[in-house]
Amino acid sequence: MGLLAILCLLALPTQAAEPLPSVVSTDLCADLILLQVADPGQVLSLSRQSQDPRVSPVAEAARAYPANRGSVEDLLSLKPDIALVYLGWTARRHADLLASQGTRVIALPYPRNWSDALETTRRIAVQIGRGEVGKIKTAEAERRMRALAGRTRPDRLLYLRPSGGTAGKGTYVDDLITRLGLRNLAAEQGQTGWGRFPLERLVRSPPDLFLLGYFDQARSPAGSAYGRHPLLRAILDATPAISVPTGTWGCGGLELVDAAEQIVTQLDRLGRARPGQD
Amino acid sequence: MTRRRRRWPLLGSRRPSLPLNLVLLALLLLLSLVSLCFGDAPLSLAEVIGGLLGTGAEEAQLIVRQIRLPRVVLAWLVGGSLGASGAALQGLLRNPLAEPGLLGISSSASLGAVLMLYFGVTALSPWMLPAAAMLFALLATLTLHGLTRAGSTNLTLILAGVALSSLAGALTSLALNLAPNPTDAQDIVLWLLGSISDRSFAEVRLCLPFVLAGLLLLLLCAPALDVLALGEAEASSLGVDLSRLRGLVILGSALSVGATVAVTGTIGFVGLVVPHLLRRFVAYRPGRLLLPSALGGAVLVLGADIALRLIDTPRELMLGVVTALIGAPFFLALVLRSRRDML
Amino acid sequence: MTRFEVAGLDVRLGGKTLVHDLTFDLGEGELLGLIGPNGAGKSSVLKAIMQLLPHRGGIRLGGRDLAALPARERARRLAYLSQDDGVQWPISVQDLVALGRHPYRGSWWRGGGAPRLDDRDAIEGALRATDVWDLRERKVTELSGGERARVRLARALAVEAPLILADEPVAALDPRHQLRVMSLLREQCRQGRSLILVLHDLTLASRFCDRLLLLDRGEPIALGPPGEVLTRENLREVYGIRAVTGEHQRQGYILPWECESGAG
Repeated sequence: MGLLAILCLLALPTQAAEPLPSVVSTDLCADLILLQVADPGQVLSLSRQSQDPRVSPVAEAARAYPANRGSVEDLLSLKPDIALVYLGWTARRHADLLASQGTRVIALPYPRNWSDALETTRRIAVQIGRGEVGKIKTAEAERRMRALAGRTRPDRLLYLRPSGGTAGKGTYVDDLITRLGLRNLAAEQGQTGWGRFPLERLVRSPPDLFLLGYFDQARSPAGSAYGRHPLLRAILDATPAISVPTGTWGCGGLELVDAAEQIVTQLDRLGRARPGQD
Repeated sequence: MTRRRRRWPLLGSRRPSLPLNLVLLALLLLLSLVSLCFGDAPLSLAEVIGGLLGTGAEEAQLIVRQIRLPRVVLAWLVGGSLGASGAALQGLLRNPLAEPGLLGISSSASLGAVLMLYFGVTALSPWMLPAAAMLFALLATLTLHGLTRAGSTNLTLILAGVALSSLAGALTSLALNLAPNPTDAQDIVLWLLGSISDRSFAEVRLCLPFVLAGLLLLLLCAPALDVLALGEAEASSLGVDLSRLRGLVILGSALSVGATVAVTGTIGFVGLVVPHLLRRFVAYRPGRLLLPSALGGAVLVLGADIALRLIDTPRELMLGVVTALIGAPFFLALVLRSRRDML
Repeated sequence: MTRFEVAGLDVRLGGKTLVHDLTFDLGEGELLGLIGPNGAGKSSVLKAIMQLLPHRGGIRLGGRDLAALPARERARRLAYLSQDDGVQWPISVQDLVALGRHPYRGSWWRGGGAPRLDDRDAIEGALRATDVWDLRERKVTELSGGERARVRLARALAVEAPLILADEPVAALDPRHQLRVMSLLREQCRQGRSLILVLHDLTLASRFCDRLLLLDRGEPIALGPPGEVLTRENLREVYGIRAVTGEHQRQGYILPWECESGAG
């Protein structure tokens, strides 16, 4: 009899009344999604980085949860129903082992544009049983983003990191720049994906405006020979620049809209918005 | 004595290295010009020369003088330091496998630089960077010398070098992991493999005085290193002050290698390949090998730096990768040849 | 004129006495053989004279204290051939021999690298005296052992020093080359140079040396003409051997023959 009852239960379709699946996130970007859409009760643990204020915009909120280092052993001991990992998670080969323990491993795709960010959030929300919340949150973000777009700004903008890194076509940075009505210089120069913007190119075709990433942090002194170069410094001094809010920039998730709003505020302050002009 | 005696040529005692040095210098200048012509901006030769001389367009001037020229000068300094130090160490230790990279001198220097950079000491003074690198290079050279002085065979020398360079490499990675500033894997790669791209004259100035001083000290050793080919006892009997010679070579290598590594990271095998290739042209005389090795080292680094820009990779190759690709097979060939005394 | 004197020489290294209270002197054109069993301190005597080992006692050449001489001055007065052949690079013979002129070269900033005419004469003289003139452009690493020994000797002769010290110059040579090198050295004495040789071969020592100095565990045992030093008692006491002695062409010879039974 009891066995029959269990079989019946298993055969039943998932219902809203059923308890939400427990979730562990091992990656800062997944942490951000979870904090957006998950029910606090279903989150067993977040990644360690999420509590580090130097890299996480949600460090405060994340401290409410236990931290994990993203190892297979963490997941085995936490026994969540769902584990969110990033695409390059080194322990993915243990997915079978985790599955046998009842944990489903979901790898987050790397977003290439704003639509990807919305889609990923919606999908994860559905997978953790919070589809409705996902819909509401993404709709809200979409609305805010749409409010920012629509203005045309003639400036050629260059996204630049201290190592000389920039973002060409096919990146969420390029997508965001275009959405805000700006021209992405790197993409116009034919660059696709994440790449470097050589100093020489900078001398020959300087941007009207810089979008600086991570220049505020004394990050990576070795990789930043580019960033220390006197020629770059001279160009930076002569060119208006806005900087990206570090914590909301690296993942390309819903929080990108926060970054976008801050960028627009900075643009307005610079007097860079010229509605009606093409 | 009669004049008749003087008809026979004293081959080695004349200066066969003079034409060699001139050839190398010409090659160096030629490659420098080639290097100045390579870059993201498609400048013509005339524009490059105009930019270099300050007669061309401002844009060309900026690109040639501030972006491409520091890179060329840094290639000279790095190559010259590594080549001359390799030749001097080989002469001093009387071992053709001695080389700043293999012996762990470069990686020790880069450890010193990493400690300064990542723990914020350079904020006190930018000179802390080369100073620490040179100090660590000096310590490494002294350690090696201490370990291998008494009858260094190839085996003990190389083993000591391997131990020292892995230790320095491991400590570098550890320091980067413990550093208060977040770092990425790219930083470790830079310090272990070296690069001279995007450097400015600020960096050149940071190492130039030490490189020049180091090279001068090394060149002062030339006559004594020639005599040291006879062995320490006989060299001493001919008036060579061994402790002075050791001090000069160790200090000279530490200054020049340490200062350049502080700016470029570790670049391997240059000090091994260059003296080996040039030795036959100077009648195998260790002292006379110094200047050609410095010039040849600069030629090699410059050539490698041009090559890595020719090879079209999505991310620019590290300079140390190119020198290792050239140098490692070379090293294996040398080891095979000296297999007998390794065993 | 260039009398060489050693008085009360003590050599200590790491608390161990290598040579104790050694006194001897050497006249111009004299060939002194240093003999003794392994570990007797023969090489240490040469190294102490060369200032390569810490020591006490007086070492004087031509009345001047060697330790007080500048290294360069000393290098012109003393030529030294070490026991082991250190040359690894394939340097040409004449380049190697030319290194013997190092003590005479000027400072490099005064263009000291260029050989002077008397350098050339010295080098050529040394190459001819040791009969390696025809080998002068060969690489030393390509030579046979006998050729190489002569080249090294030529290097020492090129110094044109009044005193030559050689540590086992004929070890590892075949008899023909041993005789050849010993004759060459003897010839140097005829030209007024003084030589101190460390030798193991007692037959050669007795045949070529004017005097012998027998050492045992750092102590001088005997000093004098070969016949007075290589006595039956000394050979038994110091080496623990018996030797055959005889006379050939009015010169005595000695031939180590068998171990002394019961001797250590």
